[in-house]
Amino acid sequence: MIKYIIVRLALVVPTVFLLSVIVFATIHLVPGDPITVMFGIEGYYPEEVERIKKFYNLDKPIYWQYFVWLKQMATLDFGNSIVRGEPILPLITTRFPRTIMLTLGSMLVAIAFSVPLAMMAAKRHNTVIDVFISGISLTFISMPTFLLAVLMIMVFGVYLDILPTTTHRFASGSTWDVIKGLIMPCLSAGLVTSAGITRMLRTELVDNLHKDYVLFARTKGASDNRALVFHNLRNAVIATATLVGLELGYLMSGVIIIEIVFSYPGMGQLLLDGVTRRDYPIIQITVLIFALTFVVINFITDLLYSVLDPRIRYE
Amino acid sequence: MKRASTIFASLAIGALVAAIPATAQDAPKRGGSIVVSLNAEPTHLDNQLQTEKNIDWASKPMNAFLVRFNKDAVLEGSIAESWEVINPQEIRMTIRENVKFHNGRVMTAADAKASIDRVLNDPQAASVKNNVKSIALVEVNDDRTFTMHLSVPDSTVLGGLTAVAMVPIEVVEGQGDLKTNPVGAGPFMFKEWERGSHHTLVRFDEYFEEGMPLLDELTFVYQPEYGAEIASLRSGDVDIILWLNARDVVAWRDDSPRGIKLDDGGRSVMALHYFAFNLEREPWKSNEKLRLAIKYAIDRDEAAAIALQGTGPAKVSGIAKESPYYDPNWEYEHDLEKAKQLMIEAGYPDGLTVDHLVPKTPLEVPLAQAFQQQLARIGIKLELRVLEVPTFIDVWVRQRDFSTTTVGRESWNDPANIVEFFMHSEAPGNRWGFSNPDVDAWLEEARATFDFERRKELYSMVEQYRIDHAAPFIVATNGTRYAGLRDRIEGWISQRDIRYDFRNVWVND
Amino acid sequence: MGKSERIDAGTGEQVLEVIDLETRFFTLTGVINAVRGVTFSLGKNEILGIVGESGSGKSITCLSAMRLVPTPGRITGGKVLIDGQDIMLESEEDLCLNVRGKKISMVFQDPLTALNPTYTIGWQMKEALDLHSGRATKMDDVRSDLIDALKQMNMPDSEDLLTKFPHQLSGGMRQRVVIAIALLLKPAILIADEPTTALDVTVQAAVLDLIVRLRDDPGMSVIIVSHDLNLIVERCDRTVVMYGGLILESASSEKIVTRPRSPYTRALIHCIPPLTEDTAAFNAIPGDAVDLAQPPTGCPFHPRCANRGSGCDDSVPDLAEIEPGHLVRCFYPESVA
Ligand SMILES: Nc1ncnc2c1ncn2[C@@H]1O[C@H](COP(=O)(O)OP(=O)(O)OP(=O)(O)O)[C@@H](O)[C@H]1O
Ligand code: SF4
Ligand SMILES: [Mg+2]
Repeated sequence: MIKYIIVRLALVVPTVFLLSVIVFATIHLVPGDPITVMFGIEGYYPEEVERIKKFYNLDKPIYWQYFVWLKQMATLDFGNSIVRGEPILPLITTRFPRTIMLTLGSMLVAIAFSVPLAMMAAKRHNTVIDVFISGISLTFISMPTFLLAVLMIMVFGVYLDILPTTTHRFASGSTWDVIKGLIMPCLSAGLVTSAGITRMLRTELVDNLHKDYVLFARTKGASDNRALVFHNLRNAVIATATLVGLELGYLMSGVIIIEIVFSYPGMGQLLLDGVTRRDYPIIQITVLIFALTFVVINFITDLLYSVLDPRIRYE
Repeated sequence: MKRASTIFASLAIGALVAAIPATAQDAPKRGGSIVVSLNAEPTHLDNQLQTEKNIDWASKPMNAFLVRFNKDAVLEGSIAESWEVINPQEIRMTIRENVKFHNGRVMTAADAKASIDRVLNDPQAASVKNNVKSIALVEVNDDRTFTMHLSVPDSTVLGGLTAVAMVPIEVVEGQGDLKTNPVGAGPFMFKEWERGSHHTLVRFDEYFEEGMPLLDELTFVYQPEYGAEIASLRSGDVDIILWLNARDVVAWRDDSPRGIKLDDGGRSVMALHYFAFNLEREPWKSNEKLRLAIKYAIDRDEAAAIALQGTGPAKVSGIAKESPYYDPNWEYEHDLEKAKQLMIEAGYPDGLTVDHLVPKTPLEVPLAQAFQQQLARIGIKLELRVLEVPTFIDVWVRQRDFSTTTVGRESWNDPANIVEFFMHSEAPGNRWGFSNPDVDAWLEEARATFDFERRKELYSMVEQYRIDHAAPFIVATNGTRYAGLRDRIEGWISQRDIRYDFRNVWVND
Repeated sequence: MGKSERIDAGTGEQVLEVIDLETRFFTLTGVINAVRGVTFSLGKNEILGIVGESGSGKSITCLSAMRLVPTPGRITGGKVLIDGQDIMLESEEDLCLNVRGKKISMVFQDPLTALNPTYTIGWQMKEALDLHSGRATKMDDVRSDLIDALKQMNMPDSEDLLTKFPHQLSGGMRQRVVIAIALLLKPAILIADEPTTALDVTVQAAVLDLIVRLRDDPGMSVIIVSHDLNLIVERCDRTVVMYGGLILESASSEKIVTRPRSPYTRALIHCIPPLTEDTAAFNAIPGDAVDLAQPPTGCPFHPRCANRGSGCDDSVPDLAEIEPGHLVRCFYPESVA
């Protein structure tokens, strides 16, 4: 087990390295540079732009820039944003937790909805309730997150006017403001995610319903619900864990859209802002952090797997 | 001695009533806070180093300027109490005595010099510098007086100073970080900036204009998604959004959603959206008949109707009809028959295929599509190359890899910014390879003279030349901007140059 | 005690009485009459065998006896008396707490699937205790009891076993664990639904012997369900033959073997497979097993019956006691040769 963890962790290094090369190359190959973009269509003054580019070493060859960046990263110095002119680290440290909060919050919503729904559907499988729940899941699965988010804003933010449509109170507010600010983003991302999980979990639960160990638990005296939770669900979760891990990854990338729609001050917005402004250092670091998070999520899912299913032990 | 009043007249643009008619009879009230939506986070809050309008909107309320354009685009003193043009290369200015920076210190002439010098020397201030670059030296005469020595006679410098924010000398010299910790002399003071979310300004109680500002607090929130901005305005979480889509303007004009009103909009008098040629390339370089064929084939009314959905006018020049610099002789009629005839004379009876570069913006794309339809009528097939803005800039400006293009320029108050910027052979905005010694001479003289009538005559000649020769571009329309406001917002003034002013804004709860 | 002495054991005190039991599955495609009025009883210290082809309703009968019919099935009629109490009238909570696992237990065909793969043996054993004590006991408090229970199933190295997961045990071991769990609360009745079908031939006999011995120690009544008539008659006092959700014959095992009266029973005897044969071999009786979704009218066996006579396809014959303790459902029972 320990060996497995070490090998997995060791693999992260070349992965991240390779990724950094790809990201670096890609963003420098895409036309437009931070300085040109900064001055925009109207204010492009060639000499000034060249002067500033020189100042930021943007006139140097790409490999040279890459090695400077690598050297910098080796000392864990994230450097400065070109267009903002301020250090990147504080930008990351305030936003990364918010994105994690959003991702986990969404997953929590997804699980909070999908587990009871799947259990309800499985318990009453092939009844009207089951069909109804399947119908809802199908609707959510085929609904773009974006659309759901907009609907949510229109209903809860505008029509009912019970939740904030901006995040300025969220960003510097009390716990209550933070929770209020999280509700709609987490619901939009979470509900879409929950649909997939519900469907898979329901299928697993129904498959398990007639498994001998569920029936055996019943003959031991376990109630319907206890057998469903302790025996059926427990096993269904194992099969679903893979999906949850995958979905968590999707969520991570999906929150970029959510962050834009809800003006949520997280990593996704930072990345998008970096891309549109060609702010190379920001793009590099946010992409790497996203990638690392993916790796960590995968890793945790794998470990969780072995905790959930005693038949799997990594050697 | 020419007094300030001369300048007033020379830079004045027709008086239009710009204030929203007061819906409530109440007198302006002090207090309250409002939230304004920006569609992107400003990259920093240093007004002097602004590279995009967003930074100006976000930081201008914290800053005060020597002079400013009033709501009718007439230049007036702000920090400057008075000024005199000693000669076309020397302007002396006297500042008010009660101007304080947010750090509590009284502003002196040395601060003005430091502020101007910073703009001249910091490469990041290129955008602001472009309009004051003829200032060679600022000489401090006494605590409240300084003299600007110009390298060449330049009447546009005063207009340029409306964009030079005054900052305290100790911050400039101490390399203080104005990007994240702005200090100015403006009506509002910096309070906090939550990156990615919002920044908040509070009233500066020692602001030099009596009784201003009225608001206690002014928060800018960043909402990159237009739909989110609209939702926030409708729910009242946001009080002002600065730029409504044409579609919403049209819909809201007759029937705005409950609690929302439109500002009177359409203020961008000096702005243009145009069809431009790369004159370094054939056939544009030598085939004037072909360019003229395009000029007559473009139906400006139709193009404006399509691209702006009726929220903005068709135009013949970047200088609008409302401007005192406007000359009715520029007008010409759309004439398809003439265009067809010109195509034959130009040697293209069967038409031709033309590359057309378009930045992916909500206004330029539909406009280019309108051009495409119209030119098809004379056999010209426009092949649109729609590129994301950063890519567009790279291809257009750096690589100059285009044959024709549709682009636009936002609003300005001085014709130099619209005419000279694009047409002087050395101007930064001349990306067409346009070069004409006569035009250069007229433009230089217009800049050098402080006489309004002469300037008007010279700019008129330049515009007439451009229109007659269809080079380097054909203007179709100007963009317009409408802001959406909550009903509670009073005292909002729609600015011609899209430099918003929050001094008089108050809330009527 | 020999088997023959116990022939009448069933006539004494009855621990389980199933009367006119009807169970139906209400599927989307139609109603399946899985159990169509089954009546039998189980005496104290009796071993009863239920035999029949696949799909004849054996398992559903047993599950119905515990009121555990899986959805979309429902018990639509009849009574099940355990210790004289009709469990159809009891509340679900009561059944969980006082009946299932406590008065009546069941073990399944496949020990590979009867244990939950995600819990340790110890956890699953303790669960059976907790379910009836209504609280979560501490492992330390019950460990020795659990180990004792395993020892009684002839399990070696029992101490270690509690922390093992099912996949770490062999099939035979697992079935012993399952039985140990089923017996943990010393129920009076054990239903063993094909307890050895999935096991290695080498351990089948041992596990069966273990089950049979329960009659004496601790003194239980047992129902053994199987396809395998041979296996049943060798070990059970009485045998019930099922087909198409109906009991076709019921008698002492001796009589079933020596004097079968139902044509179906005879057919079964004639195609008794070797011990190792799998399920498919039972179709050795010519024709297909009955389809309960569309059962034939009349005697369910008539499409395949060699004895079929007039009226067989009209109505279902009654289950008649043609001699004391010997019940047959047939219009034309085989004559006693
Ligand atoms: N979950 C279910 N849904 C629908 N029908 C069912 C279900 N379970 C059982 N049945 C029906 O009930 C009938 C009897 O099933 P049962 O399991 O009692 O047969 P069995 O005699 O135990 O067969 P086997 O020897 O294969 O175990 C089957 O033929 C089937 O049609
Ligand atoms: S009733 Fe008729 S068909 Fe049925 S078993 Fe007897 S003889 Fe055969
Ligand atoms: Mg069965």
